[in-house]
Amino acid sequence: MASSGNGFTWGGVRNKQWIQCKLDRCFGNPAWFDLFSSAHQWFPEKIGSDHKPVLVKFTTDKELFSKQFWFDKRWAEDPSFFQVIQDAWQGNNSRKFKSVVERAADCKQAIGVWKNKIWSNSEIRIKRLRKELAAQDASLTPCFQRISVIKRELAIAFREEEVFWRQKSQEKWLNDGDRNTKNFQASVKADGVKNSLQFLVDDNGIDQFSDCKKGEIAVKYFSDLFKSVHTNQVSVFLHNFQPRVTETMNQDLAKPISPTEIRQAAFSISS
Amino acid sequence: METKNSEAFVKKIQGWLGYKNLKTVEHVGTSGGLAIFWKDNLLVDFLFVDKNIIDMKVSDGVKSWLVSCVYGDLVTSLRPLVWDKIYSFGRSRSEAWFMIGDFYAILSNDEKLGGPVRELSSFIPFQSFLENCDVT
Repeated sequence: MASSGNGFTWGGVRNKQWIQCKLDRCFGNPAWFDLFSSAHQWFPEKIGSDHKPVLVKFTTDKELFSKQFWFDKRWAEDPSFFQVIQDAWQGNNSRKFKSVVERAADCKQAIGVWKNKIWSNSEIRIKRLRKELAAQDASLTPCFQRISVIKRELAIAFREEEVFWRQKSQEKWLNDGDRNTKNFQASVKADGVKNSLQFLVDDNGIDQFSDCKKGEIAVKYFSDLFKSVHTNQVSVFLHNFQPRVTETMNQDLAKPISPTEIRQAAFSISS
Repeated sequence: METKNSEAFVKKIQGWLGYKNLKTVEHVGTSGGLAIFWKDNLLVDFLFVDKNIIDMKVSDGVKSWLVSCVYGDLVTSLRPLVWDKIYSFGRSRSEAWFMIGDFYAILSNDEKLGGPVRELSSFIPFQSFLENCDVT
């Protein structure tokens, strides 16, 4: 099966020599590849064992929204964060007048810089430590002392991460109505996957697991929900009713909306 | 996965991970022990279970496929027996089938870094096993 990453899944010392082997993996027969043509295997880092796990994904479904900017509420709890926002909003380095949109964009950029440089939380530490561990794994001469330090730090970071999400998801998410999607997803995860939408059943009664297919089913469901199916029958039911809306009134109501009307409506909203 | 732990401990992990279903094979001494976790959306039928192999039929209601989870034997001389066992029920399979696990075996010297170079003949049992099962 096609694979990504370093496939030397086992490492150990034999006769005072550091040895690595490809012991763990996955194989499929032709019928299986017909069923799951995009199946792929990965080998995440060794953390609690002298073996790497084998991760097999049956279907590829790339996360579409991973590059979007999300405001992470944890930032607001960091004392240095307020200054970052203030400086960026006020544009201390520039005398040029800036619109709200430009200021917001400046803030977003400043947050990005600050996030990468200063901001450190368990999630970032986990990412950094795992990367370092993978590098040690791949090395022909790994430093075992360093590996045990990395693993200890990882254990602490994992625990912090778990505690953090548990608190966030249970105490804050529903009350605060925070629309931070990652936060929401994590809260669902921390809840033991109870609330996740694993699959949707399509019109043919087939369970669909991919995000793409689930999306199509949801869109179709709501489109159908707001579509009338029996339009012809309405006139039958209304047969003996006297219309309250005259033909002239109806023409007036059905007429396209003019820019003047939009303007009137917009400016009649009190601020 | 190799658990090296008792069923009670594995059950605790099952709770953390949030899987509804569990099948274990108890460990012998400090090594071995197998566990499979699966979610409710899958139907799992166990076809063969021992300390080296969990063979099962998995169905999601639409598709179904066969899975052999393999934990190669610690004893080199017993490893080919594991291959033979899998081959004995796998040879007649035309349905979708995949196998995963710690095979405890490599196919060539390229799959090994460090240590002495191995005899080419030592790779033959595992190579021919995969070939006979028609898996890649």
